[in-house]
Amino acid sequence: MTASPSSEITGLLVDWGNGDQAALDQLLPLVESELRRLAHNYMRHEHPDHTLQTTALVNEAYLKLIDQKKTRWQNRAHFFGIAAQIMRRILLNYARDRHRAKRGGKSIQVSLSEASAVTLEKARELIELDEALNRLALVDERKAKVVELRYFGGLDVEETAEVLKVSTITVMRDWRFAKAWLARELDNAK
Amino acid sequence: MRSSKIQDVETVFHEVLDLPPEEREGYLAQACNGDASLYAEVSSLVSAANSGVSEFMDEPAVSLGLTVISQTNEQSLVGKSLAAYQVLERIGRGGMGEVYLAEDTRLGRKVALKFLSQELLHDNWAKRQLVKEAQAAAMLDHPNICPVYGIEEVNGHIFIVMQYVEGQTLQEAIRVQSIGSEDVVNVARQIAGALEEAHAHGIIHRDIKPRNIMVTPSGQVKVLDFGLAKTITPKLDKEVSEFSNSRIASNGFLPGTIAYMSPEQLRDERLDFRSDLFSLGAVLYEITEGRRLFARESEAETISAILTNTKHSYKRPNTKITQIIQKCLEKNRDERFRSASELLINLKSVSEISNNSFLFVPRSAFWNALYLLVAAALIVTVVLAIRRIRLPNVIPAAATLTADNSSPYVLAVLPVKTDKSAQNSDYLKRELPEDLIRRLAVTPGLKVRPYTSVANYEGQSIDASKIVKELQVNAILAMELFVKDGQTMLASSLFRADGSQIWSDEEVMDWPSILSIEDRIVQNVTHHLTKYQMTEEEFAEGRGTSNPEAYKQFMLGRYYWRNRDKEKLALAIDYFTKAIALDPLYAQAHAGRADSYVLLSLISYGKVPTEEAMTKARADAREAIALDPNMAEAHTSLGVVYLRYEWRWDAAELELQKAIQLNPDYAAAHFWYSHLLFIMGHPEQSLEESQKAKDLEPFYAPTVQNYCRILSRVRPVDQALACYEKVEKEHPENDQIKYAFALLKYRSNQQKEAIATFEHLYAKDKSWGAALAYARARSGNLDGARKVLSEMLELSKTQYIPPQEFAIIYAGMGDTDNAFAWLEKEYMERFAGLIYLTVEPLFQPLRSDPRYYSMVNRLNLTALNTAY
Repeated sequence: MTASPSSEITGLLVDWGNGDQAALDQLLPLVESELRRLAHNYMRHEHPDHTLQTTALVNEAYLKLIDQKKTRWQNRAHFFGIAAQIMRRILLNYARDRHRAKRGGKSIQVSLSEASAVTLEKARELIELDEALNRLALVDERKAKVVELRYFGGLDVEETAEVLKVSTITVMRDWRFAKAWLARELDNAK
Repeated sequence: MRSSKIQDVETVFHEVLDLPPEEREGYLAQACNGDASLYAEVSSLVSAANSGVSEFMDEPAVSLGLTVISQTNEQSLVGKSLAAYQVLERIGRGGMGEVYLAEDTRLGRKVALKFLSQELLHDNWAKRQLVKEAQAAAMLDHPNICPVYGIEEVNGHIFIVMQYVEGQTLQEAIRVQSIGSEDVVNVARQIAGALEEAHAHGIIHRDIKPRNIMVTPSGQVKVLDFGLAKTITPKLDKEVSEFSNSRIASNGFLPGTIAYMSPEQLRDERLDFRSDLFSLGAVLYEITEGRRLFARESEAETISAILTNTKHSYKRPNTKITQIIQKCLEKNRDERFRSASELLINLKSVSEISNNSFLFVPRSAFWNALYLLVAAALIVTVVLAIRRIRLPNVIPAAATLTADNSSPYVLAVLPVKTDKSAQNSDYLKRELPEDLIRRLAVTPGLKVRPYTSVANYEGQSIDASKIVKELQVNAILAMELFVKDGQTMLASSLFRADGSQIWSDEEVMDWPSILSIEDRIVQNVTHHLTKYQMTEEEFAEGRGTSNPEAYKQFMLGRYYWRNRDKEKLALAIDYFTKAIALDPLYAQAHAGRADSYVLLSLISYGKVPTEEAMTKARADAREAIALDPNMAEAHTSLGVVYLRYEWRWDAAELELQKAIQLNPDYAAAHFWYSHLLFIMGHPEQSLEESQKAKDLEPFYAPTVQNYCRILSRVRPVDQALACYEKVEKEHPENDQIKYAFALLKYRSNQQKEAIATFEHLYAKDKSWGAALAYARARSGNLDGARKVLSEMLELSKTQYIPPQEFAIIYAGMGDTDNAFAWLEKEYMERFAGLIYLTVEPLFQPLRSDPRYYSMVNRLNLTALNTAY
């Protein structure tokens, strides 16, 4: 990493928290690569069948990347929000790769032989959910965001409320409605 | 969403769910207060909330995501956009970097992007190296060096942008023997030319090896990867060699691939240009002999061989070229050629002296041969034996017809001529050309006529001049199935407009090899007409499935779908389902099944409830689009679901327009778009679309009938009557046409004739009675109308009759209350006929009633569009 990554990332996180969308574009790859690095290290040093403590891992990334003295506690929630977006994209890319690999893409097959963490069925489930979520975003963007944060990011209700700057009751109502809405879409897709 | 506002839906949804289960139904009905769409929306959400479908969401996917990233070694950039570059797929991976194919969206061209590999992302040495590579390559301008367009840093990714070179690596070409000893001089000259250019700029490549050399389909050699290239300046030299030393020591990372390294490189001495000449010698040896010169079991042995092994055996020793290779491979660089230029001069003398020796192959003939070999290597299982070619009957065209080679080709793929004894001939006759047309149509620079325009030539002998004239084409692909020695064979021939043959072939036609037979035809046609070389990926995309059995089931499905009636449509669904079971990711099979379900929901075919058919159609269409977003068929099916079931006009329009944009020759998209435009109140545009559909499918009754119907709205009635008369003559057995024709006559003062037809149809099938009862009631014969009504009501106990049929009868009888009750029922069932509410003439008596406007509003239609 470059000389003082944490000050750079902290600055970006604060900027994003203050509404600077461009900061997010710069943050995403930085956070993603840190998450990857940690996940790799973790798997290398632990027993291979050990379950990954995800919240701990994201937390570790947060502590490593962010200078605590310069941020408010809410930035932690924003950080988890970023992790949620990253997770969604990683899972989607992976699920799509699985689809494509089955269709004969050569280069992808090579990389997939290394792992098959996602079953083909799960891959389809994820792709369908992602599409349904995109449609939900057209109807009600905030509800789609709630699902992204909670499902892909593992955020709890309070953290979700903080990222979205709404009340916890709103988050719970959104979550209930969005789940029903998505369930109907997914059921229709079957 | 349907017409209800999301806020209302949400409010009621939460209210209902907060109640105990037994109170929910009652409250919901009350809260909706007769708003049927709100009711439907909330109740479907409530039941979905209780269905458990979303249960998997209770466990966050974040741990799955981390498992994925911890198990995959690299972060795929596929699908990402970096500045103007849309990353498409990974095409290579080396020790330090990864190369992706990407689209430069500003310039609309494909480029290759080279990134540092994941582990080196934050390694400053590696970053510097990447920049240095770009700088080195950017100085060079030579046809045999892959040009670098630039270096970019976007969102923390640093990457080189360079030309995307299609073809295979020299390593691959040697392995599949598409390049061998006879090519060595030509390849040597091109690589030596590239090195001469690099050396002239003071750049040593340092990693010349078959994997870093591309051979394009046209036979051009491109040297890639100046990743280890070094500019000869004393300071840099020292810096880099320090780094490379430490790399070897710390993690075994060795710059360059050992088997092609020069002795001085292995000894880590200061290098000069002659090091590249040694590596080139090892590459040339591999081309002539087909094996690696220095590769051994272990690194240590390989190094030892390079440093000490001087005896290299050749199949043909003491030829001029082996002498040249030997001189490159001298351990002592002072004994090699002094420069790439000197090597080039010597290589030139080889071809000049030994014109007749095996070393010299005229350039064009050589590259043609190479091309064919490369092409053949792409095809999975090719029957290589050349058989006696049996041509279809071709009558050469008149001499006046000229094939203009400068203009792009327009191709007609004719129906397969079949021998009765040939198996599978029935559906192959049509489906094989259909599939080839679909696959060929995407080739840049080639236009292919849709099947509907060639369908008429089925069973005819091939008269090139007639076809050329009628279809305005300048190339013809003809195929014939026949039996030879008990085997079904497929002969294929490609002709120019003047009847002269461009290419022909003959294959054993059996299922396991059908996909490769198709591949071969596609490959040859595109090559001969456009010189376009399809990539392996494009082939895989074109095929749709790699499972021949799934393909067979799909073809059968499509065959029955095309020849559809109630029973055959059910069969088509069965076959598509089998195809999907064999290959769940078969996009076209999903699209085919979606379309079958769509048709199943239409009056003329359906016993299946609209909801079931449409829900299945929607699921299949979405699946197909997810698998292949560029499929016009799937977008059309989805558009029809939006149009006929969900009544989402904007969404329907988007899908149908998308379908037309993807395939302007897809008749069904124009057909349904004309329906949409018609009910939306754009009759002129609707006529235009229906005409396009008709021109594409001039022999398909529903398409032509649709055109006549819209014509009756926007043109003098004589024209529409003439239109119906013509289509009725062409399809004398088609009752739909008779019915529609009679309806028009009924409105054009030919009531007597019309009623005779209504009577006739009613006698045949009581479900056709609505128009008869309507006509009887309007003429004052209320008893006669009631008789039809009661018979139809009786019939509706055993068979589905759309509610609107009864609404029409009641409308005729002036009983608007009952008419609206039936329309309401139709609304609840979401029967598609209701979308024609404003354009159906028989609803005329209802149009002064406020309930009519209420229903028009609920459908998001506008009463102003009312046609009659």
